[in-house]
Amino acid sequence: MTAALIAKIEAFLEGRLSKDALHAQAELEGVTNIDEEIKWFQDSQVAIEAAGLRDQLQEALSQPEEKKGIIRQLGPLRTGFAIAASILLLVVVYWGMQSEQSTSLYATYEYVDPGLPVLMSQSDQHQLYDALSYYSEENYTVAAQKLRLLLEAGTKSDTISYYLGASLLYQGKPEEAVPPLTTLSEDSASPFHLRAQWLLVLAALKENQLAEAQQLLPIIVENQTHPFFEKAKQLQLELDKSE
Amino acid sequence: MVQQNNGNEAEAMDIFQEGIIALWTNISQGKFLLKDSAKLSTYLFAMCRNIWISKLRKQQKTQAIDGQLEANIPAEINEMEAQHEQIQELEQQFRKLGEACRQLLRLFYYKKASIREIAQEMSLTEKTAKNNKYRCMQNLRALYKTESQA
Repeated sequence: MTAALIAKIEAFLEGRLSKDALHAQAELEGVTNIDEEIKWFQDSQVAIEAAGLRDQLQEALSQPEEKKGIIRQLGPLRTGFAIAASILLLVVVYWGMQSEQSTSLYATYEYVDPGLPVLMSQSDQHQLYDALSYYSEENYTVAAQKLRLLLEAGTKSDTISYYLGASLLYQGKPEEAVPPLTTLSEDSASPFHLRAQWLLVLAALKENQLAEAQQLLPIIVENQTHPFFEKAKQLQLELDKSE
Repeated sequence: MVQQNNGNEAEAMDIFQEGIIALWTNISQGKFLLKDSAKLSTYLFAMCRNIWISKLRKQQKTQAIDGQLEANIPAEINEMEAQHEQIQELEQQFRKLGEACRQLLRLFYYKKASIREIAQEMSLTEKTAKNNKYRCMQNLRALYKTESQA
């Protein structure tokens, strides 16, 4: 296995490369058992991490020789502290891993809406045009500020709600993105209704709410014409597998 | 539990440590999700109990196993322990690598250091650090292949 293929496997595991692209590289190198290689690579990473964790635990649980006299008296207390510290470490690692898993899922399934092609000459809504220009330039912070001002000024439209939700999600505020997206996802007459459903799934992944994401998927998976049907089906399988 | 079943304090500590690592191994592979009503400590205890039973079996001290100890071990705990054993074998192969490789891979995968940080820490150029990382992974793979063919 070449360094290039190892790099591709790593990129795949981190959600930066699709499985198809990885298979293409493997074929190029004549590697026929790429799935086995991925599994080996994944397990090896865990083994290296386990070795690190073991060393750290041993350090935490070992008793320094020169302090043995005092430690003998404090033995049960110290053991209790060590056990508590280890459980705390495990809890921290657990939540860390959960968060890492959902971060990687978010990266794998991320969809960035490119925005609307609004021409100023064709638009009499200059403020909306202005906000969407910032959105198209991926300046989501300013776009969200401007869209929010429009909403607060009483201009109600699905376009404003949708791009406000999307801007908030892309700038890392999934919790704030949920209310405007939820309203749209429930309105089947809205042109943004299907996209809003998928962005809500992404918001749940971003928030590390895997159970919430699972609850949001059936409505997409039941609709074979949904633009995110395939992605949703794949994600559902992945989440079911990790249960 | 260990001390009540033919073990001493040091062995109890070892089993506790092994239980933590086993649980972590399964968490990191996404094979364990804490159910809403369950406590992490319950799983940890069940895992430690399983590991201790396996150890006693390997030492052929089956007569020392209290019947109560073996009762009601959930299937998922057995699966998690099997997965942990596989990772343990790989961990042993990792420990057979040279010191430099172990340090580099540990920095990258455990400490999540960047190639730049590793290069600084190990007084290497970034290019060498990157090349060494791949070389070390290839060495680890070669060790695995040799061991699995033996």
